[in-house]
Amino acid sequence: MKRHLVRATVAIGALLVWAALPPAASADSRRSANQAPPQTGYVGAEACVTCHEGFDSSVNRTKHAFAKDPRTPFAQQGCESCHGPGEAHVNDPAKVRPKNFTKMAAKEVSETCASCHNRSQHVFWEGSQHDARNVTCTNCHVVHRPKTEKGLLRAASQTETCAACHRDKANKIDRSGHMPVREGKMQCSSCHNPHGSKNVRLLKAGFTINESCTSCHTEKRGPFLWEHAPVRENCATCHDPHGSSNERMLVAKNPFLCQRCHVHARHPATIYDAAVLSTSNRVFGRACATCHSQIHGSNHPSGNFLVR
Amino acid sequence: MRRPIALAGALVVAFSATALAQSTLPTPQTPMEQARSTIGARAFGSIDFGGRFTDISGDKARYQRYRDLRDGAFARNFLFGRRTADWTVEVTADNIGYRDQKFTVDYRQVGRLKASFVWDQIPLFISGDTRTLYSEVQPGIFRLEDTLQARNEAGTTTLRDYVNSTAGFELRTRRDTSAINLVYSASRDVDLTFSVTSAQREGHIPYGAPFGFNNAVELPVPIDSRTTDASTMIEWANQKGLVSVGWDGSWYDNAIETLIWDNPLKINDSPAYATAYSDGRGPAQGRMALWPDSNQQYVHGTASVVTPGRGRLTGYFAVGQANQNAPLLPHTINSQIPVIPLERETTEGEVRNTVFNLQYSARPVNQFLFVARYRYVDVDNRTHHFETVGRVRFDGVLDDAASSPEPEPYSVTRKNFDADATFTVVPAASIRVGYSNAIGDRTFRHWEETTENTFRVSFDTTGNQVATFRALFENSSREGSGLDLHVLEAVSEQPGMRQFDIADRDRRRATLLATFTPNEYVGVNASVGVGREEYPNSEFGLQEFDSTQMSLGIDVFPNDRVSVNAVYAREQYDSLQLSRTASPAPNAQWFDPRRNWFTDYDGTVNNLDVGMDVAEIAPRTNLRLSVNWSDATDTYNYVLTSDTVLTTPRPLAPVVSEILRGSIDVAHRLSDRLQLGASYWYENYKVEDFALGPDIASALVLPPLIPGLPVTATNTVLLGYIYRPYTAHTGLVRLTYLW
Repeated sequence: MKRHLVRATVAIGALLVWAALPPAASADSRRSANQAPPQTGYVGAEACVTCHEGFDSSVNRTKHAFAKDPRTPFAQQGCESCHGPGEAHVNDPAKVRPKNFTKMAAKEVSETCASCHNRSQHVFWEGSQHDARNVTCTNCHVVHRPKTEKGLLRAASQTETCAACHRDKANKIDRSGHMPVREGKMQCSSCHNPHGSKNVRLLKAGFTINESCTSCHTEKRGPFLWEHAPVRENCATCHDPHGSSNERMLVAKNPFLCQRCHVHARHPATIYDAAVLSTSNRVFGRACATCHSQIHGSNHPSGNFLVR
Repeated sequence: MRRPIALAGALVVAFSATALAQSTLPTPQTPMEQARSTIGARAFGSIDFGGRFTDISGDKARYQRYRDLRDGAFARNFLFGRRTADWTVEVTADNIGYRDQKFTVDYRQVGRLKASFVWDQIPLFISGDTRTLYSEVQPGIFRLEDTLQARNEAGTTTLRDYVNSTAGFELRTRRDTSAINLVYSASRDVDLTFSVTSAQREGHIPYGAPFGFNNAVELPVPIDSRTTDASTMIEWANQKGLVSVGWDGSWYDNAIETLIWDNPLKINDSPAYATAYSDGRGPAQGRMALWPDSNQQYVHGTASVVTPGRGRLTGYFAVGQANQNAPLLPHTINSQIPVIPLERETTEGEVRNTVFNLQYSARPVNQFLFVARYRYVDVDNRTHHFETVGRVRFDGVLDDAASSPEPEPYSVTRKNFDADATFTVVPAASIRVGYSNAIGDRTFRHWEETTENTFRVSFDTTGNQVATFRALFENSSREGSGLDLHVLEAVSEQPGMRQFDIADRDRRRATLLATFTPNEYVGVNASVGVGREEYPNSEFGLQEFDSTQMSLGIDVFPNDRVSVNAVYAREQYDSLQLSRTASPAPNAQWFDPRRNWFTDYDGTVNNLDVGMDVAEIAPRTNLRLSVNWSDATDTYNYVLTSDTVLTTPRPLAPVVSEILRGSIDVAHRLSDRLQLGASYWYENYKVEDFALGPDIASALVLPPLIPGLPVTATNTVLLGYIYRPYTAHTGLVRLTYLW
C-alpha cells in the first residue's frame, strides 16, 4: 500500500506543477468560430445576467458553456438557446416572460432539451416509459443549481434522484444482500438508462434481462451443455437485483425458492422443518445450492443434475 | 373553520410566490467552485488527507463487503481539473492504495474528442474467519491429508477428530475494471465511438462440491477470469433523424476451468459404489467443470426519423452470436468406473440472437401522445445434440443410457407489442391508457407458448410546482398453450405443477405517488404500491404472491442553512406455494392429496432514513447527520391439509435481519483553501437465520463456530461462511485542500 501511496503522491505532485502553469489558450468562451451570429429578437447572454445574477457562473461550470462545441447552447444563442429570444422580455420584463422550465409542460421541456440531446443514450427517449408518463428532463436534472457535477442532478446522488419515485427499489439497497450501490461502486445508471433503452425495464446493456446481468456476470452467459431453464429465461425469476435479505440476493430463501417449481418425488418436495435442521444439507447452509452448485448451468457431461 | 383554511392558503401562495420570484443564484464560494465556473481559468480541485480507525466486533467481512476500511492514513476524493475554451481535463483518485481504489481521467477537446479512462477496484469481502481442512495445491485442486482420508475410509476416525486441523483464511474476491471510452466528433452531426473494458476478477468464493446425497462439502473455489468487452459505432444525428451502425464484442476467459478435490471419507475409488448416492463414499476425489470460456458478438444498426405530427419513428436491428466451445471433461475422475465415451470433445455451444425494435411516438396536438412499440428477440440455441450413453452421478454412481437424459438447449422467441395513448385532459394532468401483448415461444418448457395481455391506465399531474400526483393500475393475464407433459414427467415432476416463471398468471398492480411542496421550506411525499399475482392453473408450485409497499417522507428547509429529511417505508410480502411429499408413481402416495402441504411465507421490512445538514452550525463549520435503519423479518410456515397423513412439522424460527447505520460529519473551514473534517460511522447488524446462523452451523462445520459446542456431523465439511452479527465503529479525521 505504501508503494501505491508514493506513486499516487508523485502523480498528484506532477499534476499540481502542471496546474500551476498558465493555460495555453484563454480565449473567451462566449466567442468562437462556431458561435451563431445574433438573430433578430435575441439580446445575448450578457444582457440576461445583468438581472439574473449568478446564472452565468452556474452555466459556465457545465458543458453547456463550451462555445467551441457547435452542439452547445453557447455556440448558438447562449441563454436564449434554451429560454427563447429575450428582446421582448428585456423591453417589458413584467409582461413578457422567457421560457421557464419549472412552469413548462413536460413535453415542451423534453422537446427543448432533445433538440440537442438527440443522440447516443437519448435515442430512445421519445415514447420511453418515463416520457410516456410525462416525466421530463427537469424532474431529475437542473442546469443552474445542480447538486452533482456529473449529470447535473437535482438530488445529491443518482440513488436519491431515482428514489423520489422508486422508493421501494432504493430501500432494497439497504438490505444485507445488495450490489455495491451504497458503497458508491455502482449506481442506478450502471444498469439502467433512464432516457430510454432498446432493452426492457430501461436496462442499458443487452437486449434481455439476462444479457444485462451477464454483461458483468459473464461466467453465467453460457451457453452450457446442461442448462437450467429459468436461468436462461430471466435472472430476476430467482434474484432481486436491487437487494434482498437472502443469500445471493435471492427473492426467497432456499429451499423454499426451489420448491416453487420443484415438486418432484422424494427430496425436492420434502418438508424441511426444524426437526431436520441440523441433519439435512437441503436446508442448512445454502440448502439446495450446497449440492446443486452449478445452478446456472453445467458444462460437465454428467452435469444434468447441476452438481458437477 | 374557513378562516384558518384561507389563512393557510394565503401562506402557501405567499411562500410559493417567494420561491418562484427568485432570480439570483448564489455565487461560487470555494476556489474550486470559482475556478470551475470560469472557463479559461487555472486548475481546480481538491484532495482529502487523513487517518482512519475502524473497530469491528463480529463479522468484519460483511461490514466491509464492498469497501476497504482498514486503519491507516488515506488520500481520497482527489480531483484535478483544468478548463479552457478549447479543452478540459479532470483527473480523480479515490481511496488511493486501498482495495477499493479508483482512478479516472476525462479529457475533452471541445467539440471534437471526448476520452475517458477508468480504473476501478471493487472488493468483495465474503468472510474473515472461514476455515477448511483442504489445501489448494494448484489453482482449482484441493487436497486433504492422506491419513485423514484413509482413517475415515477405514472407520478408525471421523471428521470430528480433525476439528483442530483446519486452517483459517479470508474469503474474498476483487474485480478490477479498466475502461477506455473515446467519442470523436467528426462533424457537427457525426460521432465515432470506441470503447474497451476489461474486468479481471480474482479470489475465492464458497462453493458446494458434494460426493453424495447426504454429504456436504464446501470449498473456496478459485476465481481467475477476465471479461473483455469492445464496441465501436458510427452515429449520424441531426434535428431530422439519426442513423448508426455498430459492433459489440465480449470475451470471457477463465484461467481455472476445472475443480478437483479430495473426498474426506475415501482414499480409494470404489467401482460404481451402490450407496454412493446417499453417503458420498464412492470416489476418492471429485471433478467439476467450472465456468467455460465464451464469447458473444453483435452487429447492430439504428435509424430514427422525425415524422409529421411531432412524431418520431425509431428502428433498431441487431444480429449476434454467442459461442462456447470449451473442452469437455470425462464423465468421471473415478478410476474404478468404466470410461463412458464422449460423443465429442468440446461443447460446440452456439446461440444465435436476432433483435428487432420498432418504436413510434407522435404528439399531433399538445393534448395527445401516442406511442407504439414492437419488439422481437429471438434467442436460438443451436448447441449440437449431445448423445449420452451413460452418466456418473457424484463421481460415484454409474447410470446406463436408459436413465441418462440428454441436454436441452433452451431457445426462446419473444414478441412484444405495446401501445399507449396519453391524453392531457386539463393543463398539467394527463391520463394514459395502454395495452401490451407479450408472446413467448419456447423449446423444452412445459408450455410451448405463453401469451400475456396487459391493460394499464395511469394518471399523472406534472408541471405544477406545488403538487404532483401519479397513479398507475395494471392488469395482466398470462396463459400458456401447447402443454408438453413429457418435460415434467421426464424429471419425475407432478404433472399438475407449473413452473411459475411461465405459468398461467393473473397479475394486478396499483401504485400511487404524491408529492406536496407548498413552499421552499417544506415538502411532503407519500407512495403506496399494491400488487397481487395468482397462478390459477398451477396444481402445485407457487400459488399466489402479494406485495404492499408504502412510504411517507418529509423534507424541511427552515432556512438557507438547515435541511432535514426523513422517509419511513414499510413493505409486506406474502406468498403461498403448494407441494406434495410422495414417492413417485405408481406409488399411491403420488396421487394422495392428503400428503399436500403449503409453505406460507410472510415478509415484513421497515425502513427509515433520516438526514440533516446544517451549514454554519458554528462559524465556518458545517454538520451532516444521517441515520438509516432497515429491519426485515421473514417467516416460513408449513401448513398441512385438514386430513393430512403427514407428521406435524416443527416450525422454523423467523429470519431476522436488522441493520442500523448512523454517521456524523463535521467540516470546519480553516481558510478558503483548507478544511478540517471529522467523521464517525456506526453500524450494527443483527441477524437470526435458522440455516445460516452460528447455532446450526456450529454443529456442522469444522471447527465449531461457537467455542464449546460439539460437532455432530461426520460427513460435512463446510467453510464456516455464515451470517454473523457485527457492531462497527469507524472514525476519520481529514484535511481537505482545495485549489
